[in-house]
Amino acid sequence: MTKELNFPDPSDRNSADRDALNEPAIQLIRDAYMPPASAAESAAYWSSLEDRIMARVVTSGNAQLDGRFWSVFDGWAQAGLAAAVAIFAIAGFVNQRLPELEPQYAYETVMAPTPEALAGPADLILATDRSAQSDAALRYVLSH
Amino acid sequence: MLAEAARAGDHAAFAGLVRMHQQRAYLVARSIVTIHEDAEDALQEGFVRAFQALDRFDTSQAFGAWLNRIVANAALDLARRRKVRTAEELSDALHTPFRDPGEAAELRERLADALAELPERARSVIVMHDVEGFTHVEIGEMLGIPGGTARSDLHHARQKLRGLLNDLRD
Repeated sequence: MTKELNFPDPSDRNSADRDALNEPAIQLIRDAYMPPASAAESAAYWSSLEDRIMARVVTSGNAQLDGRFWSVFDGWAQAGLAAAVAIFAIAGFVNQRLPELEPQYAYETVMAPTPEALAGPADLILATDRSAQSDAALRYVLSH
Repeated sequence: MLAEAARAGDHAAFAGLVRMHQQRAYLVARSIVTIHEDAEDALQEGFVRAFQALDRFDTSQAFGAWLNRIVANAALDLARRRKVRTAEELSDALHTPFRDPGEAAELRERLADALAELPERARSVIVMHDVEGFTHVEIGEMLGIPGGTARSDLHHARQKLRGLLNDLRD
């Protein structure tokens, strides 16, 4: 069993490669490193591998074409372009929401009582004597 | 010339290059990653990279040598990303039990175990040199090491393999 893997006497080899493995050992290594397919299937295996390689090459070629417009910008230009797109998106969103917010703001402005509007009745309530109450009532009526 | 046609965008010409070089390139990838599936991944990635870099290929050089360097780089990248394989996994990956059953199967098993015990780079060097006949310089270029280091790795790999297979000599 062991004969095939015997290594030749190094002195038999030429000086350039005197410790080379013998041919049976090399053949065994070659077999071990071949794809796991029988010899009969070998041609079919390589053909299918070629197809898979070419499918990937074509896919990558298309992806490269798709990405080409983007790749003409260098790093900083890409970052600037991305920032500009983000700013436009935010501005667009705000612009879209503004008409909805405007009536609500106007309504709240009109309906919310101002401090001046509350000052009259408060003076009226807080006035201690009759003349002060009359003055406060007159100021409130005149202010409305 | 196929490489020039492929560079001009001819997919059929590139398919011709794939057909012509894939077996040797597969062995380059497999010698580095050892596992068959990883070798296929590295090979495909290598061909894609080569296709994308065709405009930088010097047509006065050999396409195969250029391609093998790219495939070896793809395999080295893949090997770095993969977890460290155990000797048992590697040995299993190198078994091809359904080929040549019988006495050779047992020898192959012993050899697969012995190869799995070798350091990663030594295993790559011995396969590239002894099986595919690459020179030390070519191996050095593919693995990113000096040619002298490849020569020294080969010597040590053979010694180690001899030691691991020593009992088979009796």
